[in-house]
Amino acid sequence: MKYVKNLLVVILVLTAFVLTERLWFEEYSNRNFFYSFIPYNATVAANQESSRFVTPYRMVAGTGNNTYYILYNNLNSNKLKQQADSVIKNVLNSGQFKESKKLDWQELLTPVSVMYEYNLMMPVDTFAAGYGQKAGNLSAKLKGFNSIILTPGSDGTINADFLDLSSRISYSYQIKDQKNAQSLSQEISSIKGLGLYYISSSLSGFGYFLENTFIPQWHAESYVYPAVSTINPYGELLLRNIGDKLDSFFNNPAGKLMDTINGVYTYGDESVVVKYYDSNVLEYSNYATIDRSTESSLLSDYGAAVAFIKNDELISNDFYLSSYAENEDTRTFCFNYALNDIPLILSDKLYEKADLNYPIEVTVERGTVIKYRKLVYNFILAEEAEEYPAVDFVQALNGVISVNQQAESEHDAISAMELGYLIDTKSVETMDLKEQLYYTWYFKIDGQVYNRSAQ
Amino acid sequence: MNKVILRTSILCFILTLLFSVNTLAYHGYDLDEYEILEDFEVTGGIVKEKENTFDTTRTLTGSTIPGTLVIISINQYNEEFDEEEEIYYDEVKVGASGLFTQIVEFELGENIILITAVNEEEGLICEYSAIINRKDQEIKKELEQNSGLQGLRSRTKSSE
Repeated sequence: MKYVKNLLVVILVLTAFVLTERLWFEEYSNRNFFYSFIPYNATVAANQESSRFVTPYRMVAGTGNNTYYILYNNLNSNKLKQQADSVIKNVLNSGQFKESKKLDWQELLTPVSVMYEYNLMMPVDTFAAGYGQKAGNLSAKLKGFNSIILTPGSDGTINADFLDLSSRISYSYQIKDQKNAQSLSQEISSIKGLGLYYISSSLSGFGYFLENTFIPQWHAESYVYPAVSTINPYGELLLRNIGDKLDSFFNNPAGKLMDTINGVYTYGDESVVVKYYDSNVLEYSNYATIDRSTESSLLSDYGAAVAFIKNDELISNDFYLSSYAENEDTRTFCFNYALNDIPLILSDKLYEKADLNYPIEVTVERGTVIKYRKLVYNFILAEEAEEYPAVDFVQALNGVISVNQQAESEHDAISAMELGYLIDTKSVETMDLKEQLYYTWYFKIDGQVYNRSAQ
Repeated sequence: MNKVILRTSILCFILTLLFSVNTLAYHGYDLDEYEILEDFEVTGGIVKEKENTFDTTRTLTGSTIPGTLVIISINQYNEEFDEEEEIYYDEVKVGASGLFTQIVEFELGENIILITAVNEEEGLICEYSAIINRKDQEIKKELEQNSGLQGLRSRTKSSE
């Protein structure tokens, strides 16, 4: 018995030494004695998520006859995506370079095809690594791209066109794969929207657009869209109530301090500060010292960002990478939500009030998330409430052009256009937990944003 | 002599009738009262003036000057009554963008698309027509099955 007691004392003394050493060298976050039994291994989680980087933000299935269906949600469990991924792996392995030429949307979008669209210039090496392949002969001609178009042919060939929108050049590769060509063709044909489809601005001869844009269309009174409501997962907006829901941001949640500073609910420990603003924006900042010797890559930083978001249990909607920026030491990844394959649109007023460009923004430095900002809302599709959209694309555009003409603007070239769910300051400022979003047309002309209700 | 005069009169009457019919646009407008509307184009939805398709619908797109009324109708020949029958009709007033889109549905067989664009304010008119021959989807399925069989045959040959 005495022997056991002595052993216990020795173990406790050693543990005390280890913990003191860690505290001394600023590893305060691990002061929880049981930290090693309930670890959150950020590196492992980041590695698991990094392959998601090559998932496009949306897929466009072209069924011929200038008809397209756009998919945003649950892409990785989509059969068409799985089929297209297997084709891409083949292209990376054995694709034969055919030609590079000036972008011709008419030629690219007329046949039955599936398109992967990215909101960034995807580096070829990173792309290949995401598929567990080497870039091989692709990297000899191609450095990066914004989109891929896979076109199955009836002769058993599949064309893979990698589009560089900045230089407006398409790089065409080809594989011969009868089985995959047939399967891909069948999967594309099986995609049918629930009344909403898209036409290409280039194939429709609409000269207003700076680049090809997919324009939503529907048959009158045959398309209903589900109403979407916001829900604040933090519940009652009280200091302690919100604080209780922030445990995932702290390694020792019990040790965090909370206070209201300048009207902002603030929570923190020695390295982490979390603020909840009255605009319903939550901001996490990590001030811990970053090890300068730590190496990171675009993939690993992206993985860290996604793993961090997924560790936030109060995000329940499917999100996609909407923008990405790189600074000297940091990378900032911006994400948006899509609901029922329709993107969310933040109003300009909301942007001004919340200083938020995207619903989720994550800044990563050498594999560590140093800043995380999000609009706290989750979004739910109403089960019963369905609405008919009343304003179509041309009607919305007529309204915008009229306003532009009255303002005597010389510019009317559209750089971006979307149909989405608009979240406005009205939705955010209301303390009601449920607020319906607006089905809205979004136009960007010469840097100016125009929203027009589609309801 | 009287017979010749009578015949000539009848011929003139028929020619006058024909001429007056020809001056009417597809949708009843008198072409003589208008100048030609040059700035009108069907930019999408119809590839050729006569084409075959398996599509049941098409999205017609086009552009013209704002304020123009675009009338779109689809006729089909009715064998039973030996005449053309209107199966679709719609009108679109073109707004500030100068664009129009219209989703049209096709019946099986020849669909005669007639489009008249009239700008009353400027006194301009333009006509456009095309024939879309919609084929049965079953033919498409058969063609696809045949091409699948051909693919299978070529794969079997290559593996041999």
